[in-house]
Amino acid sequence: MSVATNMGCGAVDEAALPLTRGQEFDPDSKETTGQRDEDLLQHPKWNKPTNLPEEVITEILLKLSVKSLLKFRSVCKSWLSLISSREFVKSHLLLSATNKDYTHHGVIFGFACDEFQVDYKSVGITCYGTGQGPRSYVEVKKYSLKSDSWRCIDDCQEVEQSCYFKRCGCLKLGVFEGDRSVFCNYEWTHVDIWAMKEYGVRESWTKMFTIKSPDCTFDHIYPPPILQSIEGEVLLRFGSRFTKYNLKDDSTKFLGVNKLDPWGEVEIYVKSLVCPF
Amino acid sequence: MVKLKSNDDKEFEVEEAAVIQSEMIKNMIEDGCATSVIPLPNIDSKTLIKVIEYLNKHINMGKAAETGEEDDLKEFDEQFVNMGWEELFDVIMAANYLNIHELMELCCQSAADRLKNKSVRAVREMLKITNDLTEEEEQEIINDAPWAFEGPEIDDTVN
Repeated sequence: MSVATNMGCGAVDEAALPLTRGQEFDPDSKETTGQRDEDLLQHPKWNKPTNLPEEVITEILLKLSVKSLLKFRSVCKSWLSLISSREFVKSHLLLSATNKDYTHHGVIFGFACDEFQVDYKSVGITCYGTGQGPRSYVEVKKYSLKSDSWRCIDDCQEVEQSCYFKRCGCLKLGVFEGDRSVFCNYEWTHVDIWAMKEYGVRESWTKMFTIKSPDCTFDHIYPPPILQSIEGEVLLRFGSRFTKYNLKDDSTKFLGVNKLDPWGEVEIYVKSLVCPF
Repeated sequence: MVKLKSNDDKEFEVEEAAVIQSEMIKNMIEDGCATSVIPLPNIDSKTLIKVIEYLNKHINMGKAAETGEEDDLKEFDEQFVNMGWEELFDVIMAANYLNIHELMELCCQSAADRLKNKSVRAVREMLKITNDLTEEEEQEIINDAPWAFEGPEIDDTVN
């Protein structure tokens, strides 16, 4: 028996249910909706059916955190398959990774794992200076979980330093807000943050800001600064403590996290739905 | 001026500079299809008034950055999405149909903010979704990440 006549908005689910012979089809009828939570049907708002297109649902769900999404997989079958789909996972990761308000970010220490590659690979960056002359070398390797091996992406790249760095005590290369940056630690008193605004263009090295070591502590600044929030604050560590550094007035605020292993590495990670296994 | 007509036969005049924030209408104007009234069969007048309010406020987005009125616009946006759940969905549907990217972003963000801490049951009710998972399937999803279903923030109310 066909009921596919003049189906209005929101009647798709109902149409899939078989009707008993002779029963008149009524899209608002409680008996034909297959609704499990009977009490919902008593709700006055049910008079007006909504039928959000999948693209709208996707737009909304993409803005949710990983925790909410894992929870909402159990809303219904279509949400489960949408949230589990490769395309969705990828879009969500890209949005989270580029989100400047950092609510989707976390901090991990002990080891570094970069999940930006949706093909379940990790990227490791090694930077070393020669100790002589204004040059540093960068090695980028990709780790594949499946083959359990490291592979060089580019042959060792040579990063030409600006002459400004010559006096610096310690150099560290990193990525800051999408730009390639060098963090200079000068005699443990301050850190200059330089960014290469245009990839490969030596003249584009720009000094972004300077972080002064607070007088009250003997702890060294451990570069690199981890995050810059929109209010002009940088998250970094002084010795064994996490610190919020305000770029406007050079004030520091120690955060609850302390007793960090002074030799441990600290990295930022993006919470994602990507499953590496 | 461009004339828009809601599905309850009310006509609205909107400045072209405001209305071309809608990709759909912008394309219609460029194709010369907007010579008379543009009928919008999916949008009622109540929703259309809200959309036009948004378009008029955001007409000088570029200028706002120069004159330091960004905060003003931010405040307007916050006030704008301060509306009922059903009304928000009507605006989302209109923004989707008219293809107004910024409005879509704003309203979807508001919808996501309202949903994020809701219980699964509350979400189903708010979006009128029928649960078609079996109890076993549901339990399997919960067992997969039980921590996602716990926490003091989980809100079972529907509003």
